[in-house]
Amino acid sequence: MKPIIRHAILCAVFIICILPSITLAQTVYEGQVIDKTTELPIPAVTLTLIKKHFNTLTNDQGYFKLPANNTAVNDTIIFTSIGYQTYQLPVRDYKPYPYIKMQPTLTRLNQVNITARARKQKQVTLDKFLVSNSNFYKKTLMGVMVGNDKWTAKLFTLPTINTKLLSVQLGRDDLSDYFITTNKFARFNLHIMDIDSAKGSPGRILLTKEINLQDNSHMVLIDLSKDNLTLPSSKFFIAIERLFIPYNEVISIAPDYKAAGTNKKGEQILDDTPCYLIEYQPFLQPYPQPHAVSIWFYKNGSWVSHTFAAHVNTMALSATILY
Amino acid sequence: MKSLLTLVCCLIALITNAQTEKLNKFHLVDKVTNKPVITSVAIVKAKLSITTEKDGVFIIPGDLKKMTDSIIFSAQNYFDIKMPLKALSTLDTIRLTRLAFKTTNTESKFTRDTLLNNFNGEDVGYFAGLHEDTASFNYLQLAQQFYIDKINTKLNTLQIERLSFNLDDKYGWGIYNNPRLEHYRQIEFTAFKLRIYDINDATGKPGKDLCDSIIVIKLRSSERARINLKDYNINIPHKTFFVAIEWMRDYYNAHYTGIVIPNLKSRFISYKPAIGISPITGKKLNIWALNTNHDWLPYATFSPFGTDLAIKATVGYN
Repeated sequence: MKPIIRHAILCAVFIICILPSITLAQTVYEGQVIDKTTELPIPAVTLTLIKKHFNTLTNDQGYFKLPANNTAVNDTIIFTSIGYQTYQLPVRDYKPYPYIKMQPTLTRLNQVNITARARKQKQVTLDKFLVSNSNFYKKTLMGVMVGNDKWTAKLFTLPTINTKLLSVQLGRDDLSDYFITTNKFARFNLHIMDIDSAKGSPGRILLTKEINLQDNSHMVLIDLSKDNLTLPSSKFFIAIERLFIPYNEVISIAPDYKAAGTNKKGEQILDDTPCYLIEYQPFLQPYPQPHAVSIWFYKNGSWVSHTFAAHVNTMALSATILY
Repeated sequence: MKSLLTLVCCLIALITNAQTEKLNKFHLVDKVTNKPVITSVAIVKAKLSITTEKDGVFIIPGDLKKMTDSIIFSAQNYFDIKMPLKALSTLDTIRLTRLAFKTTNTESKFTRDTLLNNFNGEDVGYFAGLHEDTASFNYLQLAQQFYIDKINTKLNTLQIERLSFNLDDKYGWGIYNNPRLEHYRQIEFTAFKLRIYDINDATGKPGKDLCDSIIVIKLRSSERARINLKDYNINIPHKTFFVAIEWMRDYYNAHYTGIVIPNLKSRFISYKPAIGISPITGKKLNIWALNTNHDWLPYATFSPFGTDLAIKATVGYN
C-alpha cells in the first residue's frame, strides 16, 4: 500500500474514532416547555442530557437553561413530566430558543371545575397567541413595537359579565435579531382595569400586580387565580405600566454622524459615530389577531386609542377567564 | 482641529452667560519643562468636562469675567488646580506642577495568584457611562474597589467588559445591506486610561495613584479588554485597592446617547467606552465615581443589583 493511501486511511480512522467526542460550540441550550394543547408553560419538567448525565428542571414559566459546554454532537435532551409523553430533542436539532411542545398523556387528569350546583364552568383564553407562530409574523412584517409608552392597555371583550380572571399571558420579544444588549430582567406593573363607560377608555383599576421577570422566558404566564378577581363589565383592559429604571435597561445601536469640521468650501464634514439608544423592558412580542384590536396609550394626561386592523401585529397579550 | 471644535461646541452649550463670540485659548504645560500636558478640564457646576489632546490646548468661548463657575485642571502625576473661571481672564497658560511620585513598585517574584471579582462575561447586560437618569453621564472616572486578604501583593492582570456590538465582524438587519457598513466597522473603536489607586485611609475612598505610568488602553471592536500589567510592577500595599477607568473625553471617543422615553426627546454626547456592570450582586457597593468637583462618591445607579463593575483582577502573592 502506498504511504499516501495508508496515511489517508489512518486519518479517516482517526476522524471516525474521535467523531463521537466532537463537541458543539453552543454554550447554552435555552427555551421553554409548553403544553401542546393549551400552549401554556409547564413547570418542573425534568431535562436530562443523556451522555453528559446532567439534569435540570424548568421553572414556573417552563423556562430552561442548560449549560452546553462540551456536549457531544450525538447527545440528546430528554424532557419528562408526569402527565406528559416524554419528548426527545437530539442536540444536533437544537435551534435557538425552541418551544418544546409536550403532548399530554391520556391518563392525565384535566382540570375540571365543578360548582356546588354541579354546573360546568368554561375556561377560555381570549386573544390567544401561539408562540410558535409569532416569530414568523415578526420576521415577515418586521414587527410593530407596541411599547415604550409609559402605559399601554389592551381592550378585551368578555362573552358574559361576572367572569373570573385566572391568568394573563404575555409574549416577550426575542430581541436576538436586533443589535441590542441582553437583559433578561424586567420589572413592571400589570393593571387590570375596568372600562370607563362614558369614554370607552381604561377606567378604574381593579387589580395591580408588580411583576419581576428574572429569566429569559419568552412566554410569560402571570397567575391571578388566587386574586379572585371577578370582572364586573363585559369589557376590561390589561395595562402594562413600564418603569423607566436602570433594572429594565437595554441598549441598542444606531449609526449616526458627528461634526468633524468644515472643508475649504465651508461645507460641514461628518464622521460616523454610534448613537446608543436606551430602551426599557419589557418588550412585548408583536402578534396579529384575526380580529381588530384596540390598544390604548396614556399620553399627556389622557388615554388615546389606536385600533389595529385584523391580521396586523399588535402585542402578544392574552387573558384566561372562567365563566 | 477636531478637539478645538469639540471643546468650543461643548462649552458654548453649557456656559449660558457667554454672550460674545470671543474665544479664549489656553495652554496647559508642565511647569518645569513647558511641554504640553494632556489634561482633564472640568467645569464644576456645569458638570462639563473634556480631555485635551496632546497639544494641551483648550478653548472657552465668551466673556470670562462674567462667568461664575469654577474650573479644575487634572492630570495624572500632577497636582490638581482649581480656580474660578473668571481668574482665567488674565491667563493664557496654566502651569501644572508635577507630583513627587513615591514609588511603591516592586520587582519581587510572586509564586501564586488569585482572581478577584470573577463573573461570566456573557452575563454582563448593564453598562455605565452613557447616561444618568434622563441626563448625560458627567463622571470623570469610575473605580472598582477590590479586596484581598494579604498585604504587599502585585497587580498582574485585568479583564474589563465594555459595551460593543462588535460591528467589526457582525452585522444584522438594520445595518445589513447598508452601503456605509464599512464605515460603521470603526465606530466602536475607543481608548481610555487606566488608573490604579491605593485607599485613602482617612476617607476610605480612592487615594494616591499606585502607578505613575500613564496606561492607555486602546480597543478596536472587542467588548473585552485583557490587560497584562506585570511589566508595570504595581505593588498593592494594603488589603484593598481601586481600578479606575478614566474617560478620555475627546472627539475620538465622543458619541451620542439617546433615551427612548415618551414625552422626552433626550439625546446628548457621551464618551466611549461604557463599562459593564458585574452580573453578580455583592453584599456591598464597590463602585466609586469621580465627579466634576473631583469628589469620589459611591456610584449607586445600578444598586442594589449592580454592586460591582465588570472588572476582574488577578493579584500575585507569596
